[in-house]
Amino acid sequence: MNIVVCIKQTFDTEARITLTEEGHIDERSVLFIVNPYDEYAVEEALRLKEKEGGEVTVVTVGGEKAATALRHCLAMGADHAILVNDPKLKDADSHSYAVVLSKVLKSMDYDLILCGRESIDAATSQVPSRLAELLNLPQINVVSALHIEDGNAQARRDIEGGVEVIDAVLPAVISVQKGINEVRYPSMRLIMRAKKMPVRTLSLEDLSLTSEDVAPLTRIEEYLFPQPRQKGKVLSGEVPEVVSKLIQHLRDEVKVI
Amino acid sequence: MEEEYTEKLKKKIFEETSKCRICMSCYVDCPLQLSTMGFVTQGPTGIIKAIYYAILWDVLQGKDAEDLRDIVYSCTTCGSCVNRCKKSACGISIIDVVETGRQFLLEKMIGPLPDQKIALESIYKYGNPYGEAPDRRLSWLDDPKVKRLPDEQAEVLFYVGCTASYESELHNLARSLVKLFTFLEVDFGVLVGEECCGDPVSTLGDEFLFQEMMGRNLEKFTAAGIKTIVTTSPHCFNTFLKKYEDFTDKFEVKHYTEFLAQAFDGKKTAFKKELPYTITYHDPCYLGKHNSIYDPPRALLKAIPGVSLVEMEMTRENSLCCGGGGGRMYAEVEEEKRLADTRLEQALKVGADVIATACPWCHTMLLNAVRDQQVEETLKTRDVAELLVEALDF
Repeated sequence: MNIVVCIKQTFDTEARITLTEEGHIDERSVLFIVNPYDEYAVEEALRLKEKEGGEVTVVTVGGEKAATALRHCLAMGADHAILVNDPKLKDADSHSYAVVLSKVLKSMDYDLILCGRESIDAATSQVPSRLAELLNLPQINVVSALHIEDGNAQARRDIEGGVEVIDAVLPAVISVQKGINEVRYPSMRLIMRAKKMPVRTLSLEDLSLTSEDVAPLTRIEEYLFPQPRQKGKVLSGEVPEVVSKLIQHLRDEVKVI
Repeated sequence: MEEEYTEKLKKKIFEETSKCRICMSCYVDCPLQLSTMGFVTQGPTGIIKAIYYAILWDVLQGKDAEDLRDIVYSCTTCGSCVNRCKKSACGISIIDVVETGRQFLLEKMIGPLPDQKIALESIYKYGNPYGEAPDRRLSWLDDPKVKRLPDEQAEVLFYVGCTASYESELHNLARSLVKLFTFLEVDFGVLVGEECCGDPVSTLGDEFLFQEMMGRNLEKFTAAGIKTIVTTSPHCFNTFLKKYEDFTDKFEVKHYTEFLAQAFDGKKTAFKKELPYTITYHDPCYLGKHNSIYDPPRALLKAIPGVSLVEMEMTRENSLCCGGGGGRMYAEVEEEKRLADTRLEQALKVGADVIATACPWCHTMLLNAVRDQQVEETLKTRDVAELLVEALDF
């Protein structure tokens, strides 16, 4: 079974984000990682490969440095890596990504496409659905358990108060949720070995795409930090005293009673 | 290359493990036997034989692989078994086999335990296992007079280590050491850009990342022009001393208890304040069992007027591990009874009101156990350095 995993390089969640003078995220002060949800997708693909055979290909759209993310996946055990890198994709949004990925996938032989449920930077959750529509494939999103048998997928989704089980005929696009598996740890030795593995780089021209085809449908107006949370108020004293203070506070200051 | 590497690991594991005659002497000393149900895989022979047979019979898939991982990563690497085997049996380097086994499991991407993966990635990215920002490493330091290497020069590097740098409850320990070095007029400084020594990396089995950390540290130490390194943690001390190549040719490395015991020798009148405590000292494994440093911390505690030093049932060579070594600080390991809880009981039994130690991990493990058992009022967890500062009263 051949599996393609679409990944994105994002900044590390642990990193402290700062903005440049122009108001963009300062990329010099952050570390870049494979989007954690996409890591689950890579892990799931590798587990399926170990069980069923076949090959795993990881694909991403990004700048030159995105190759590091692909190499991390190669270190984990992926067989091939494709990077679509083109300056025309500078302002790409989820629509642009989906168009590019669908074009890459059209030239490939695959049984299953796996994605993370969302990227932790833009967090739109748009790419898997858009990709499935463009390829005219069935899609199951936010999957927490996946079973593949005889060309069919059975996916479990956690819903409020229960679990939803969805069957689909392969090929399909499946986006995975945290908890579907435990992601393996590629040691430094495996990461170093992956540095020597090839990453195939494609431009928009290689994919017969024009700037118009990938023109974004959305535009980021501004980046803002969330408002810092107000400090909590601690009421102290004996219980009856605290209760009357609380009632007074709710009545006079918060004005909810 | 790949085959070559795994073959090298296999050979090392096979050679050493096949020496084992399964006399089981080591089970008497293994702390896991006290904290678990005591199955055969919860002791030294069982752990190394599990690696041996898993490789020999190629049982490295699915649930079997997970079980093997849990067995191999349960070891605290305390060193009790190694000392026992040397004394009573064939002298097998059991911990080397465990660490090589872990390297093998990492190569097969079976190890480490999920939470330990986060620690390893963080060391690679931020130079500490806690996901903390490198520029916050010296945030505990409140004394502007302390020299900052490498911009300033000093003879002695106070290597603070990750836990004392980032764990707020251990900041007092780091500050206490600064006070003691200052009192002794040591020409010392801290290193701006200090990073993890690599102990967790090595013990969890990422050999190449360890090489990387070693290279990064050696470069910084050399650039700082220091002669001596004094560590807070016995783990950093052991790593520099035994795992860094040619380290002792270039630098002298000491754990702070050893350094202070020498420095305070003949100056014991400095401890003016009487501390009316009944103290029991918990030997950290990497200070005691691994490096036979038993007396210096005790000599320091004895130098404090008013202190009554009592020994627990398991002490010195027979000391009980706190359960935090071998990478277990970063993961929940299934236990019937936590080792630190057993240790507290031993301390309470001898009537101690202070359990003193000299390792940030032991400190953390014991502190958590004291809290969980709600004995904060009767038993305080203190580091030797903190007690010394209290007795100096300056």
